[in-house]
Amino acid sequence: MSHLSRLTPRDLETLSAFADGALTPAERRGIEARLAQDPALRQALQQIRATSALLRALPQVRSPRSFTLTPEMAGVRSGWRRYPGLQLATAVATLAFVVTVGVDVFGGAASTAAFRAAAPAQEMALQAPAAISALPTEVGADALQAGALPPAAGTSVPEAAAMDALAVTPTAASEAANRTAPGVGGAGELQPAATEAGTPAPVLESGAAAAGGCEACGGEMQLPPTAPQEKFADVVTPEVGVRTPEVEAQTLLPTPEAIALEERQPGGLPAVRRLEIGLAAVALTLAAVTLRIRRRVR
Amino acid sequence: MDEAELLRLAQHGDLEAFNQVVLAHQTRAYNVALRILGEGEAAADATQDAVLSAYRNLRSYRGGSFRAWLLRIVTNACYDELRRRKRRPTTSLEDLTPDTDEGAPDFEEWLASTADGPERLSERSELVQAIQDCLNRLPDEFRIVAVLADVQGCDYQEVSTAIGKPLGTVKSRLARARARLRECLQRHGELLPSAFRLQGETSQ
Repeated sequence: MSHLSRLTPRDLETLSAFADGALTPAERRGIEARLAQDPALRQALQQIRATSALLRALPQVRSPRSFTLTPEMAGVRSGWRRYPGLQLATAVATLAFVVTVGVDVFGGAASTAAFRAAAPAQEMALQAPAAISALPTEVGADALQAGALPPAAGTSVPEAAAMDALAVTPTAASEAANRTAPGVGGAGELQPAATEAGTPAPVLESGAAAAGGCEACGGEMQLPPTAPQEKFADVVTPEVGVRTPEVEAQTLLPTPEAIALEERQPGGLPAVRRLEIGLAAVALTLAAVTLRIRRRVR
Repeated sequence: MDEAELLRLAQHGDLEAFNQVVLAHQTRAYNVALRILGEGEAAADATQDAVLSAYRNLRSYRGGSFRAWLLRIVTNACYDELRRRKRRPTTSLEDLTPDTDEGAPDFEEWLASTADGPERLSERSELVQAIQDCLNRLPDEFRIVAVLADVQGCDYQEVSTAIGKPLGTVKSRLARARARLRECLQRHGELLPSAFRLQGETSQ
């Protein structure tokens, strides 16, 4: 049909490369000599050139859209690249926090217990968030003791650092309690006790309310600890979802202990408290960033 | 700023610099994909995949012809699409010829809406369709070499880089692709330029 189909594969290749000027000088001289003597070979070369020219004549089509990348398209990758590192950092910070708190709590357990007798009202108010998930009955018991020995709490609270800590944690916790478990009225009403602990009277009232509320809604109080903890997490930082409830819980729960101990040492926050608060903040921030990236990537 | 400088910035995460390089190469990349895949929508998807992949793998670019490096990624994206089609025979090359219902309307519509006069007319001409049809009938590895070398005018070295094969393979595939194309185009004799046709006739 055409000259090209009659060529040997080797000649076809040589002619094709010759048409593109891709032969070595020696090869070129060889094929030029043969072309001079063989008209069929010349026609084959002509066909190759014509075919190639036809393909080159195909119009360049304008692209239907631009293929440049948006930051979102490109960001998918940088997010993923940071993700494992952030996960690890979050885990490390949380672990460091838990270990610090653990050492602190068990190391100072005896003196804390002694202190509870001196300022039970304050203690009760601050422990309420913890009680919601873990120790519902203890709230009632402490409330009764609070009625007996309230004044100690009132006198030692004006310490500025302690008030700061109070403002951060128990309010958030009681707010969480208000939103998540409407039946847990007692816990919610503890808020005034936590924030206005300087006056003993509200402590007594809310303590009584707490006791009553807890008896009334014992069933809800005995939910598995994870459920209320997860809801805490939702209220405090919306980005922190199911993955890190323990981080949130750790932030909320041990801090009352820290404050209770603090009242024994009015000279300011000891280093270990600052470390705990710092670690908790770092762990929370890392968890929030990690989850934000995870959400964006998915 | 020249391309090498932009690429160095891009390798350090400068997306704007990368996009500037993309703008300079995207028409060629898209046309390579269009001629290999024979269809506009799939070609656009393959090109987008290739650009994203190029950005992600930019660190593996070590100088040399960026065009050839990028065309290699485009070629690979096209291979992916061709493999997908073979797994799902509903989108075989026969279905992609313009007179079928699937896919063709989009392509036609796009042609009518984008290009201006001469480009659109020539792209829609019967001759262009005949050439694309003959390209579609080539085995994948022949078609890719013919598109890179003849349609895009890459030299052998660039084609070799783009398909990841030695120069000898490029040479032999290109020669065989041209012979097959010649044979196929002969059947569309009445559409061909006279120079092409005359050569065919005198050979009979």
